[in-house]
Amino acid sequence: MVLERQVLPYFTWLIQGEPGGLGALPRFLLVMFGVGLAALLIGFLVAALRYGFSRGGDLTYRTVYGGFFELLQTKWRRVWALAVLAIKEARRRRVLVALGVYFVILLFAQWFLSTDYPEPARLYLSFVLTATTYLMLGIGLVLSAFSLPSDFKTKTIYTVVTKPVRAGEIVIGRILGFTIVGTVLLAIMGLASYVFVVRSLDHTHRVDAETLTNVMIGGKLQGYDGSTDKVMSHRHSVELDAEGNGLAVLDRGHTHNIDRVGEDYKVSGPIGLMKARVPKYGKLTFIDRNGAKKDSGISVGFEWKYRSFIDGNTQAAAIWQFDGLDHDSDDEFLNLALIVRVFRTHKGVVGRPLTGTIQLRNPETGVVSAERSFSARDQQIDEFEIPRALTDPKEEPIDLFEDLVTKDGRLDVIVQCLEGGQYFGFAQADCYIRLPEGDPRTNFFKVNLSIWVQMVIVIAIGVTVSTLVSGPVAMLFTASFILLGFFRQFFLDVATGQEYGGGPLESLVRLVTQKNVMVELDPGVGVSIVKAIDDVFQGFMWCVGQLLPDFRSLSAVAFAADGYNVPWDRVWQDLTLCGAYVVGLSILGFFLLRTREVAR
Amino acid sequence: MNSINPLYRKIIYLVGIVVLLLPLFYLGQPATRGGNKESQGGKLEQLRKEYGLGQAELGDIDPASEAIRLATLGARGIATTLLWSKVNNDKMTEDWTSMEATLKQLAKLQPYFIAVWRYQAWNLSYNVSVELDDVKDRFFYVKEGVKYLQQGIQYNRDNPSLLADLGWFIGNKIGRADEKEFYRRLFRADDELHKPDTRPEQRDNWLVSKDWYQQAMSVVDDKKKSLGGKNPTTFFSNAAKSQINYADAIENEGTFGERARQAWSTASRMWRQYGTREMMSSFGVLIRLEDAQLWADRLQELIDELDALDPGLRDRMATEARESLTPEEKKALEATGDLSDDMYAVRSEAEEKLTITPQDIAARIAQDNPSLAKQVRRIANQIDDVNKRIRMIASNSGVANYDYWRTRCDLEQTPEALKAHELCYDANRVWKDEGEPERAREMYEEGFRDWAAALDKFPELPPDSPTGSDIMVFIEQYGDLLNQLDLSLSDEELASAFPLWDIVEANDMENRFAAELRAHLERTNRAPQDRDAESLINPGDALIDRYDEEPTPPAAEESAEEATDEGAADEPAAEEPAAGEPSANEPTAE
Repeated sequence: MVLERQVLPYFTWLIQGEPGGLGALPRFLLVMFGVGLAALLIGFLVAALRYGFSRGGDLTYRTVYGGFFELLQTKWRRVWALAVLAIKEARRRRVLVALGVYFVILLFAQWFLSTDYPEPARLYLSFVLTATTYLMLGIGLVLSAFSLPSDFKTKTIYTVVTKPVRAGEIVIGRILGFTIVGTVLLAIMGLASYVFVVRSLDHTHRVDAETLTNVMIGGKLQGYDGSTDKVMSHRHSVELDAEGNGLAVLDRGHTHNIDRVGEDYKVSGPIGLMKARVPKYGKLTFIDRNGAKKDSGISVGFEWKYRSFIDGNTQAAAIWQFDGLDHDSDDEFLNLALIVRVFRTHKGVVGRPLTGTIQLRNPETGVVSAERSFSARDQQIDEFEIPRALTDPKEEPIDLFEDLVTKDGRLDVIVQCLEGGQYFGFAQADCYIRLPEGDPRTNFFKVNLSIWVQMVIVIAIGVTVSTLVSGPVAMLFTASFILLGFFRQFFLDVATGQEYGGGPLESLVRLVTQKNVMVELDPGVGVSIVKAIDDVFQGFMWCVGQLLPDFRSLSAVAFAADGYNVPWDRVWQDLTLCGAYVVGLSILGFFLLRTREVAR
Repeated sequence: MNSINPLYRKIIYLVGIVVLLLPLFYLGQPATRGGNKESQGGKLEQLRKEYGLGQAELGDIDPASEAIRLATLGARGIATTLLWSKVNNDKMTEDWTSMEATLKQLAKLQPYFIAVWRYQAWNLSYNVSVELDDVKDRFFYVKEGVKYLQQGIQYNRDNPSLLADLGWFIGNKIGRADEKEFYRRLFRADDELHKPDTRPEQRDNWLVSKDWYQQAMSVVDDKKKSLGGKNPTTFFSNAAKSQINYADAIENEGTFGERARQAWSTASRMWRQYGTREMMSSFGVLIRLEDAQLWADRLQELIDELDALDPGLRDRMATEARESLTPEEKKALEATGDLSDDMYAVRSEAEEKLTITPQDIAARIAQDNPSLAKQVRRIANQIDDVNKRIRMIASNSGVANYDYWRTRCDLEQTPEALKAHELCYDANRVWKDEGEPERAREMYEEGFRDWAAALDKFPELPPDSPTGSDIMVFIEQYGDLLNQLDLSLSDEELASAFPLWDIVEANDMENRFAAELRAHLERTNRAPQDRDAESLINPGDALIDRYDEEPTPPAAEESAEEATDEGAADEPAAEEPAAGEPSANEPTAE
């Protein structure tokens, strides 16, 4: 699968972050500090303007001090009571209509979906999970943004605040209540999605008896080869033993078991359509054609820089270093998976795949195994079972784990292309050690959990914003937050000047004057003013960017669609992020609500 | 203001609505059929029918597409922009499954926008397919592009561009790619691309391509659909070309005898039909490629007619022109070798003076004999017109390489050529598969004798034609075989018996037989030719030919073409000539 960013171990992510970056916790504390400081400053300025310098200061101090004191007095019993109120309110607002919408989407999904594609499961999973994501974000948005404003409008909030509840409990109660409603909806949608995908892809075949031919070895019948009939735009080759039992060969990502029943053959449903491969990734480095170490291979001119390439029949190689392997392992095989992106500068022999080699190497001793050649299956996952008993290039026997894995569990995998003028392209995630596969249902649950995390963040944002502004404004604000969250990286790239075309004002000037992003603007006073204003805008954008949740990277849909397990590290990271947003936004919402007359 | 006012106001509104609805109702009445009250409907209905604007006129109406377009609530433009962007992004990130699914969504939103079908089908068949390494995967996406076009045709059944594109994809993409051997086999085996009752021999990509081209021609001929910006000369040649390619392909794959002859015979018939078709030239004149000789004869007749009005005038004028030359001009005309720029200009001027055009002769006759003025002017104008036609026919014949393919079709039907093909094919098989080089050599040599006999029947076929380069492939195989036998075409005995030296001379681009050729030329006392200087192929012409052959890659300008299509929806492809303008078959009538 395409993995632009590696999933870090949880604590590394929390404390250290990526190399050269910042851990999630220090980042959170910094942002909280920054937001707190800004809020304090703005609060003080407003209070000072309204009541004078000293009384303003006093009011600010009391608000902060009293606020924190009040927060500490939050009672979960009252929060729960308010959450139940929120649930009832959501029911009154006919939130279940969303389920109807979802089922309508599923009913008409077949207009866009088809089993004709080489990876039908990928398409189906991607569709239902993406639809669920957007719908849940929409539900979270509508529920959260209109709740408090409508209470203000209908003055039912007065009934609530006359009871012994605190502002913080109102905010948390709403978030909790709507989260429960959303969770129930998501659970139903998740279940329906799973059933939809499984039922849509379920099929069986008939063994076409006319195609069966005897497989004879030494004059003795060993089995039969043939094919199935065509169902869902594909047919399988069939390999049966002499008794007529066997399997349908892998096609479109699945197989079928075949059992002989009397004169007929019974073909099972699809096996392996939904997968949860558990990869163990290594770190990728390259060697160029002259044998020098490099961080990346060469570019063959693709616009997408995800993979870089090694040239064939030279010293160029891609090397993955794995760690955490067991030097004392009793396993008989090392299961390796490799995805090769083939790039040809000439056609070669049409119909013949390119060949490459895999070698294993001990990074400490330099002991290497003999080269194992393979035929490159472009853009496909090629799986290798590397036996424990290997030989070195001099044909001397070596043991995979004892001789090639270091004591601290490191192993190098070296891949080369053998054909001159041809190239292999790799990204870090293209080679991994296959651990035992996970349960696709658990994986499906994890992906839904990632949707849940996004929904909770949206609810928290919506409730927080709605403490201050009216419903439509809160909805627009939250919708903008979601939209910017989906394009967070682009937004930050604009803010930091990494995108061509300058800041927002410069872009506007370019639009109006029809100058593309690569053309330099004519220097002058006007352009200087535009750039100066953009500096201010970009600073503001950078600040906003630090608060935005990156919804694209929060989505784990690609894992399930591509058949990979969502790592637990990733799940904990998402949940922690969600918790951080809820805590931060609850505190903010509490102070915002507290400033309103009604909640005092 | 009293309380009745709102009531009056409402009544006025109501009356106004009714008054406005009446003409709308009158104009928009639907057509009715059957029963006693059959009617053509209102003006709007008639216009819609006349210009083929009704959805049902365009093609199938898909409820799913209609529902989705309505469901976008006017935001279809935004939705399609996002989807186009997604397609581009999926292509960049090589997410082919997602890209294809998005294309289907796009098609549902823009089913009548021809550019979508053409551009994205091209994307699938040409751009995506080559991104995959396995031949089967490549064919899968070639097929997906073909299926996409077929779907587009369901929505736009009478669009010549889509029909012709489908013919092109199935013909050229499958039959001309480097992977053609695999593609043609996979195409034959594919059940989705053929109707269930299609006979196995009809499952040939070139024959299927021919059918689609014929459908494209049929909507232009029968339904008077516009060709848009397409060149009629290439558009109408496609079906016959597919038949030629079919005949060529089956021979290359080892099918000979009567089936091959039949295929070439059909190709010949279709090519001649194409040659006798009236086509609009770029000068707005109707032409037929077969009429080249006819118009040449007509030109001669007119010139004779003009000359007969004042016999000897042309010679007198030529003499006068020569006498009017200045000494400088005479000197420039007589000069040889490289000329200076000034000298060249003087020479051009002199040559212009010496050129006696029919218009000059007509003017002179009219001046000398005013009573003949009207008659000579008519003849001179006719000569101009005929000249224009001759130029147009020559130019369009060049585009289609008409004369060559006509001769080639005739050549290939001869028993000698059929046998020569078979012998050379079998020779290669006998050598490579059966390991009998000596027998293979004999077969090659017999085949070459047959080739020479066939070529002798068609002296108009130049040695550097595509036929020559096809034969050159066999000669190269023969050369390899001789190498294996430690022989060479340098050997006098072999060389003197080898009958295709002119083919080698014209087609040995890699100089594989340079030494043998030199020896042969020395033996026959001929000087080697400077191939570059003598080349009969002008690279510029080759380029023009190439651009005319290939359909314009669907691109942004497509929308402009579509606009033209709509604007000229009912313009016949080949209009009747304007009054006073001679029609293409005038010489025959005269």
